[in-house]
Amino acid sequence: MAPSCTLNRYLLLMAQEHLEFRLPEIKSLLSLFGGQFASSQETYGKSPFWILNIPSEDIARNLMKRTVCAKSIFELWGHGQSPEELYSSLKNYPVEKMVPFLHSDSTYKIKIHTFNKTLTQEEKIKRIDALEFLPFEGKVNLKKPQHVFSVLEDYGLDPNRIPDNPHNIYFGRWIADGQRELIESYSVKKRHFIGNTSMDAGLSFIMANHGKVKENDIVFDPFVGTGGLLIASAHFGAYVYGTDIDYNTVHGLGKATRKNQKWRGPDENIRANLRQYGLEKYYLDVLVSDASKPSWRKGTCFDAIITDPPYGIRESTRRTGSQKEIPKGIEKWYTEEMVPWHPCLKLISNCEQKLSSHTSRRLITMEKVQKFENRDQYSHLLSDHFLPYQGHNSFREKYFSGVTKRIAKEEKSTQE
Amino acid sequence: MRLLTHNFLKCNEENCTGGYPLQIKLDDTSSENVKILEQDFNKEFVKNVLSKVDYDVLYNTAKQFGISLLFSYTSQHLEDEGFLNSIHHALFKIHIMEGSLICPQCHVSFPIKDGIPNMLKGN
Repeated sequence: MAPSCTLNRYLLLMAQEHLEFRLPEIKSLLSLFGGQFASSQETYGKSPFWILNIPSEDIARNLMKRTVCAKSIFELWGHGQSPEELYSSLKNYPVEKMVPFLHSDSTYKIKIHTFNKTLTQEEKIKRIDALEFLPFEGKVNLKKPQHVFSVLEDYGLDPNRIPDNPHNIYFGRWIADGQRELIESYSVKKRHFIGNTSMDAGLSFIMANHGKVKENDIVFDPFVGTGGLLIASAHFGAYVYGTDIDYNTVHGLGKATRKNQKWRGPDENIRANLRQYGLEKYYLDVLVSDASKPSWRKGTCFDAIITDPPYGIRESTRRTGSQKEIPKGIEKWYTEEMVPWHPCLKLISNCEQKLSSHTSRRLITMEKVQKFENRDQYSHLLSDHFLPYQGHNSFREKYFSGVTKRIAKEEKSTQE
Repeated sequence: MRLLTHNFLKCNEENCTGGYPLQIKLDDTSSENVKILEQDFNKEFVKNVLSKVDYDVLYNTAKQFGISLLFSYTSQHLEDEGFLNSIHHALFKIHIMEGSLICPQCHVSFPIKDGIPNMLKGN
């Protein structure tokens, strides 16, 4: 019997954070490595278990070398909604695909992971014993096994309603973990140079991944601040440029943001931040510049523009002119439903992050699909998407009106 | 400011149309107005960047700092480590620390302080 034409199925175990950003991150990374997002699952929603088809294990490993949204990836050998379904699914998995990892010279171990439930050691051992029908011929080695197999049991997402039996059980061969440790090692808490608006480390890596940043790219941040977004891109091997309208931030001068510090020290500037992580060689230059009056000549080409522009609430808004700039891939945070539109740019993703009960921001990723011609300069005026942009001011008004209403209420209640 | 950056910068004054390349003027009162700093040689990156720079502008600007590059190059030179090293030196190792960038058209001047150009209102 000829082996069935099986697509290589993998199980991604996702972290339960930045839920909306996860799918675009995985899609962007797969596209970066020559794969394409393919799955029989309709939506992923809030679940941490994602089954995907990936063309090769190499692509799967490359994905894991970049992702901060996924914890681990497994080669999926079987799954079901009950133990019986799981065992039946495993019996259908082609033996010739199992054998390379189970032969007598190899060592292995089996781990049981449960989500939203705790099992006793006894219960775990029972589950391992139930897998005896699998053709394991190697030796068990709990300390340094060559191959690790995992049983993952999904007991749902509600810690107040834990079912007796799992909704889903998966069995797979562990391949690699993701890059979530970067979140701790690049934490803003330990960074030498920070500002009031420094970007959370995890999000900065997600943005670099959405932007498909790769080695030897040139990445630009036109609202660079203290350089947090540049750090993430540099970590992935890109060379970086930054500009900011604030002279002191670019030069690393003035009052410090840290609580116990008065003035900034000599190693507090963008270059020093990169140096802290051994990434100084990726620092190209920074400039003091107004992003709406760029100084880049025609033909300047950045591989990605990744930025967190001011929303008009922590800095005083400056009214400046507007000019269009065409990079290869751009992402910025936007505070309105108004998504920018341009004929040369294709919208790739639009992710919402809640900031408070009545505000959120959106991370928008766009990719250049067409070269800019002079005739494109005013085409946005013809599009039905175009409305006079009042975004920043109306957001600012709404944000501060909420704050002043609350203060007024508090004052009133103290007077009563 | 590296010469790579200089290669990408133009005058941003409102009605100025001819502001490229900007002229580099060093601050003579400063003791260290230019620095030569080491930079890891990355062959692929140098080749990548070379295709993006205006080579004539690089050639002339490098000359100003005593670097004599090849007047022009062919695809064969892209595999010549000596040539790539000279490009690497010119683009990355020369840092203009104190001086200004002057528009050849409208004569506006953008100061460079501590290696950082200030492109806000030129004066």
